[in-house]
Amino acid sequence: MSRLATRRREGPLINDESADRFVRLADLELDRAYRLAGLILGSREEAEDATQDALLRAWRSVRSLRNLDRFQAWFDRILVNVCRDRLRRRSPVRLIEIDGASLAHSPRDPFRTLDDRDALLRAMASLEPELRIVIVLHYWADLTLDGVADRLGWPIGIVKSRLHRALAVMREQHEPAPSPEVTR
Amino acid sequence: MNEELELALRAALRGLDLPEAPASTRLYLARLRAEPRQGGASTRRRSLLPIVPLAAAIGLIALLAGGGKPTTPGPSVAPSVTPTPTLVALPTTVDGLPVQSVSELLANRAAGNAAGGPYALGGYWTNRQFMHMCAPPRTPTGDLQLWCVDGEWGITEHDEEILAVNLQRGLVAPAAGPHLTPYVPNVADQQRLFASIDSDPAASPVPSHFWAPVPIVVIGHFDDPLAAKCGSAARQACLDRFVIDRIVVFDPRSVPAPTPTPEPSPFPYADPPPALFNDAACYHGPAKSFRGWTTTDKLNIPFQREGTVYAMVTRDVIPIGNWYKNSGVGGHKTRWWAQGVCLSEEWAPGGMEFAPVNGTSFLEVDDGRHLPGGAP
Repeated sequence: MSRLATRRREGPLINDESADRFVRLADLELDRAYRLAGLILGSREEAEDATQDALLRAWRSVRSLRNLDRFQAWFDRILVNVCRDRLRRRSPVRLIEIDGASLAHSPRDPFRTLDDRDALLRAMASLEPELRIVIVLHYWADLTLDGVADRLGWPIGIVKSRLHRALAVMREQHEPAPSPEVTR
Repeated sequence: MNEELELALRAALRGLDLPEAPASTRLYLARLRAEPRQGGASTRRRSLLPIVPLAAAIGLIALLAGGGKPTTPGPSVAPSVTPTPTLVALPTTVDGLPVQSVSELLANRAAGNAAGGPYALGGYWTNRQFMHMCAPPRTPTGDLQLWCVDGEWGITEHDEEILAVNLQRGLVAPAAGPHLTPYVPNVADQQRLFASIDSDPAASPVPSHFWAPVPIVVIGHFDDPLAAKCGSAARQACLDRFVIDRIVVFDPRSVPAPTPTPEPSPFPYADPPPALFNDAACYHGPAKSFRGWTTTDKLNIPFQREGTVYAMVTRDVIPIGNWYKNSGVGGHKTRWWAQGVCLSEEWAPGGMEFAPVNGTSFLEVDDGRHLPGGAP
């Protein structure tokens, strides 16, 4: 079975005290987790689904959490994996434009309209998913590069190179290209 | 230069006023606490709780409306798809054991001619797990019961999926031909057969969610001692569970992506190609006409799949979901309308709802109001 299935089949075999503590810790993390998912996925609905998905996976695999003090890092890893899965499979919620139909975003979705607010955020939103995740984890979640590597399960060198690449892409997009008059 | 950019980026991100987690997510967490912490009798998909994270609301509602009972997808009109070639020559015997088909093995087991093992089994492997929850079990389960997930992966006799899953429409349909879900105790075997469910796709040969059926030959046995841990009601089912001891043949790379055959006409094309779409398979229910069809790449719809995916757009706004109680509209029942986009894959015909066309959606309230904007 996949790890997921194994966990689901077995269920978390923890006592009531640990279960209560899991719920308390998860509740404390919920807002941050939802916002993190929203920034990565760019959608309120997807952020909600991803957060719930991560909660379910975490609950099913809570026995793998050796130290409850590490809850945030452990849950982050699960959440980021869920978000990456969703980005890879993304399709059902994407809106498309047909023959000039409006591209206006839903004003009620704060994550979907992020890129309307700031040129830098727009540049971030246009990054390919793996680069965007690094940016969000490092600059929004304020994780060290080691922390980002821990969440993503990547070597630190990969994190550094992707961060460098992400910043380079953003700089290129953020800075206006020289006008034709100047280059002439 | 980077420092300025980093400072600006950090400031922009920290200055965001982002919302709190919705109440529904906190409720979800509370419900998790009430989940059973030990397995129980198999109730696969008979009682899906309303928690299917990957399903859009449309699909979820459709699923619940159907009582969670597996439903046959819309009419399956055979497209002009090149059949998936089986490049692997399957052996007829392994270690002196005849390689049996699923039906042969099951028939032998039912007739009492297949006790213990080992037995060689050949067929096609697919893994179609999707996130969902099952009704809480009432009694403890053993590993061999595969509580909640039985039937979502396994070996089919024919070149078909063990389970057709369409989360957009909330449909699940088991394979038409003989099939079985084995228990896979060996971790290395699990990693091969369930490669990309949790792992980095870069590390796996192909995303298993989109694997076509892969030819497989395994050695396994019945009457595993783990059956003793199953409840009495499930004991025989556990004894009958085929347990894989060894994978003999399994190579996803041997199965090429299906080759799309029809050349799409420029969008919009007057009539949808009947082999790919039909009215019933796309936003089933209301009669509708279509603006036409094209390929998803021409609509800039990215798909991380090989092959061609076709898209069709409804001419008018149509109901794209069922009525559901909407706490955001004072508890009224609402349903979404929009021009819809359907997709059809060459290798998985029949159509599936994809997304509303931006700017065309509105919410119909049961008191007659139409609330514009937004998206389902």
